[in-house]
Amino acid sequence: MTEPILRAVDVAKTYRSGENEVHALRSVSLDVHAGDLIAVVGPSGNGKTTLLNCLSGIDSIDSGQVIIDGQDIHSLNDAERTAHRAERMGFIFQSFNLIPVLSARENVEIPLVMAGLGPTEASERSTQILERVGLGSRADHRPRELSGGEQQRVAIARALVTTPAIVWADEPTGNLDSETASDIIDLLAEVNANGQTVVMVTHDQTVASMGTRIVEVRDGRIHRDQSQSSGGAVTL
Amino acid sequence: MTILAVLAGIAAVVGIPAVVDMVRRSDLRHMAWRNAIRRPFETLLIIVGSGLGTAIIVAALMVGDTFEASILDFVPRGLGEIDLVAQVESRDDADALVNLIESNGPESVDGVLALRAVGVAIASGGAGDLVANSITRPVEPQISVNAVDFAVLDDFGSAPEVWGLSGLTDPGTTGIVINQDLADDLLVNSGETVTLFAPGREIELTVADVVETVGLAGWSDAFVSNQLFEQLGVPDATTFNSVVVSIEGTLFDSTGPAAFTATDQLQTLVEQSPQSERLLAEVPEDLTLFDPIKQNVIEDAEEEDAELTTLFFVVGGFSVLAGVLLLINLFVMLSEERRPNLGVLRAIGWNRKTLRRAFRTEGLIYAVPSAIGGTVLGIGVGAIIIVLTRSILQGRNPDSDFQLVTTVNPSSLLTAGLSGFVIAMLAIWFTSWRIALMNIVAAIRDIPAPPSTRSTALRYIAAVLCVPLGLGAFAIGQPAANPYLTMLSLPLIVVGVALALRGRVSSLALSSVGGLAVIIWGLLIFEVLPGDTEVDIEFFLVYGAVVVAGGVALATVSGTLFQRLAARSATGGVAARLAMAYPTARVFRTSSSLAMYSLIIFSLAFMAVLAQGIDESSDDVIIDSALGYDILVQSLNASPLDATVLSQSDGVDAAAAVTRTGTQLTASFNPATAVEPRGFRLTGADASFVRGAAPDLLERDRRFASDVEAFAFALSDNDAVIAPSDLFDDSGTFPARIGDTLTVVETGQELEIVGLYGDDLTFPGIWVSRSVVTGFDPLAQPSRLYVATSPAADPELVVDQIEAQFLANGAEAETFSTRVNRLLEARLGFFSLLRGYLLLGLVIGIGGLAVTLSRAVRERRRQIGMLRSMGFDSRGVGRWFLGEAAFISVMGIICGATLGVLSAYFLATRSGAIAGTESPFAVPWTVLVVLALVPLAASGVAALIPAKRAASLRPSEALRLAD
Repeated sequence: MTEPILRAVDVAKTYRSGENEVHALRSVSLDVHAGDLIAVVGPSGNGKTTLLNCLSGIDSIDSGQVIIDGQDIHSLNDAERTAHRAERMGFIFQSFNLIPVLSARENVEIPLVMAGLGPTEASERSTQILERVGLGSRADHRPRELSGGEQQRVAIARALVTTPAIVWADEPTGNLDSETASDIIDLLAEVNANGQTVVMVTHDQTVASMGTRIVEVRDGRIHRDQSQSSGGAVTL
Repeated sequence: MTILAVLAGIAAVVGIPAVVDMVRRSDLRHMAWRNAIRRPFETLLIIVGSGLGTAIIVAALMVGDTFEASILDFVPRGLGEIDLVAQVESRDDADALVNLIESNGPESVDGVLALRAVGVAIASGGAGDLVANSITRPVEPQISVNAVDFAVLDDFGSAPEVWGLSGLTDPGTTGIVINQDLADDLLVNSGETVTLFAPGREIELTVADVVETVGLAGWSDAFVSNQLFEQLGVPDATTFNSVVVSIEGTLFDSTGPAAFTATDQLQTLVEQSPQSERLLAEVPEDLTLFDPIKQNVIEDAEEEDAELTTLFFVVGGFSVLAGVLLLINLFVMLSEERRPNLGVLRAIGWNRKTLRRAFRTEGLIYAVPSAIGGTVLGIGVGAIIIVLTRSILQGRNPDSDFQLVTTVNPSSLLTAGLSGFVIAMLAIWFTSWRIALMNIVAAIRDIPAPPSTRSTALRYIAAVLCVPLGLGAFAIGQPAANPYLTMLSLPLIVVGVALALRGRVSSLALSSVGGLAVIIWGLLIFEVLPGDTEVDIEFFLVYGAVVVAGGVALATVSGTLFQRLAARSATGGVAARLAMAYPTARVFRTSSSLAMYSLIIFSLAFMAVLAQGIDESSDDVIIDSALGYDILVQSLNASPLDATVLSQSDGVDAAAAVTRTGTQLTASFNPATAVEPRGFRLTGADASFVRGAAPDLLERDRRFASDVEAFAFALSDNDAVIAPSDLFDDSGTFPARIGDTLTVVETGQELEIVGLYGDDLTFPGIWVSRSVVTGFDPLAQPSRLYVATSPAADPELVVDQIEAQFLANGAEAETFSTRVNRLLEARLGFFSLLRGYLLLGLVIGIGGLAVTLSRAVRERRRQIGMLRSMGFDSRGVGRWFLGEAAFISVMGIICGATLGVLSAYFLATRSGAIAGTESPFAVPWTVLVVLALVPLAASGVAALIPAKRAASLRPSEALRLAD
């Protein structure tokens, strides 16, 4: 087996609100390999999104390690971790989170501009990726002028435009009807088929079934890590 | 009282329903409180922003109150029991009039007294101690000494405490009674010696009494017996005879109808008396012998109150407008932020009315404390303005007895407080109405509401109304020289056309063309209006609002162009793109913020340009006022300084006297234009007065090749005059033209205008030949002198020397440069004061920006979280928000400053709307740079907190809270 591109070791995360403590993650360990399409499933409030946030470095952890490219990202300072995300990761959210005052093309250009590309090149690459997700003719429209499915396609285009090593998707179909959701999953599957790693949080079993691995989170622990291609299931 | 009643009525209409809901609807009350206390910082900013508007109104009213009270303060200090005064020719006439009133006067008269006054110089100590070329002891070169009959002084009026001369014994021929102010100036007390400089001799007198400066003792500085007055040897021609009358009642009871009735009764009495022909010989047909002087003071006070209140209201009006925009902006943002929640409330059963009531209840929490706090703050602001004004007035005339008495009337506080409350509540009502129109589904889903048939119909109705309204305003306003209707006409048409074309033509094109059209219209409005249009100061508030509205429309669409440029620029990073994208997309919010900034910067820049023009014109004004001389000397009418004697003094190269009328003449002007006759002062001189210089004439008769030639002609011809350009028109659109005729009402003499001059800070009135002056006023004396110094002499030293050498003549000298700079500094000081007052508006604008950005951080939390997740670092987020603040403030500064400078240029050079003359135009680059940098820096500071808050948001936290 190849070296994982991400290795999480004994990751724990507790949220505190006044005297209340919520143990969102309890000693979670997980390897992510290049080319994985991991579906993180589990009941609401059991730590799926927290796991995604902690593995991607957008949230801090209380203990453990998340090693990417041989480096524990939680040992980096905020600026270094941010730069790491910009270089290596793409994000897709349930609420799309597009910038409402920018056009679809301008939204997709953001990661490229952050990466230092010139305006012409950024525009060309944005147009190409929007065409790839089927929105070439809608590139100059603002998010409010697009349907939910179209907005999520723009978000996917934005996540993929820098060809990141890992794409994190948090309930990417949560706000979509089943037909549109199916299109989006097909798109993510296509992305994965092209060699990109996708880690996707979902509560939809149909969507989860598209993954090459299913990781089930319960009570802040990985309850099941099942590889779909081998058909075997590992219950923890 | 009427305004207060109207305000109270409106306050009741907009406030009581909210108060009732606050008391009776616990759900609305709880929701309102919760919303207000949930974000205490923003609540505080709303209250402060709104309160500043109230403070500005309080300050404006307080300035008016203070000036009114200060002028009224003259009543006890300078009049006391004196209600009416009559000027008569001689002592015999005065005695005859007193006898007539005492024997047959109306019962309401409870005092009548004859007075004889003369202006003299006085010094402390004995005679002969003065050194020739310098003054070694306290002197007063020009005081008024009155001769009175001390035996009857106690019988005058019924209020000895405001009379000042009760219980005195006759000081005889060796004593003098002086008031406390003069005693303080001379550093003398009762029993000490003073020297009076009568014509041709010095008289040593003992100070018999020092009396409080009230009543008659405030009217005049010193009092002597009739016997001593006779011994002074004052020529009758220079004696001022009058009769003063007291009407029964306390200080202010004897004004108004009582004063008018008594004036008419006394007029009838005199007309029916045997002496009528003599006593009324100099009284014009439509005037009365007695002047209700106390009533006039009260009317002057009220007029001054109204004028200053209006001035500060207009200047403060820009800040109040900014405050209104801030409130509307804040409530629109509040409603947008809560839109999904409000949509849910509508869905579960709240009707539109309940929604409006909920917002109004919350608004009450902001409006009441802001009105109360603003009122208290306004008292402080007003007090600071009054302290500064006092300093300016002191600089303008150090010898003035006018004292500013800081005053604020309870009715003013109530008016201002209610105004602030009403403005806040109306803004809340407007936004609550706008919110209640929401589409429920669109609100819940937070997507744009589809255009409803109703809103489209309303838009077309508004379009159809605006265009004919605008055309009508022009058709009526322009021929009638109504600046308001004319000014508003084109903007109305533009709004109508824009509403009609909305959706068919791009908003970029509509805003650009419309905004540009409104700006050009505003700048050229004085070209459009007829030449005789009268413009009052309130017009400039409308003018500024219209021009700035055009500028904001243009600036808002310019933002789109800047954004596109930034997107195509290699240097336009994500922060810069976002900093421009948000303001450009949020048109209403950005327009409000821009308008807040632009209004204040516009008025600051406008005033800075005018002040610069005044500042740079000082050399020209000195030259124009000096007429080739260096020093202006004013001597006493009783002992005028002889020009020949003066010209032989050390350092004096030449001296020439001018003769001025002691009282104003009344003249009518172009009878066909129906301009009311007005009073003027004449200044006459001989042609030899002209030393190769003349007043800078704005226009002159074509017969003359130069201003000097026209001036010399007017001084040598008995039918020609050089007149001030604002002759009959304070508003400055000078209808006077070359060749027009002035008719002196008293004599019927006709004078032709051969030249019109602008600014002259010696205030000569109408320049004529000396014989015209003496023909009108045979007793007028050549007491004002123009002095040219030798090339080697220091004019300031010559001034000191003249004052010392000619103290007996009451010589008061000042170089023209000192005089002009002193008076111009006072004008500039007033501009500075108004600019300082406007800074309150800038605080509102900057505070508004801070609140807007704070709310923006909250609104954009989700996007911030997403961007941070994607690798946008925290410093970039900070730069985004700081950049947005800079973008809005730079746009506002450019818009406001450009329009302010352009408006000042057109008003100064293309119209006579400022000070009745075409003013010099000069751009104060340094001030403009400060005007740009200070608000920009302040905006940056104001944006620091929201920017820091945005930058410190952790991505997971931002995403979690947003979702």
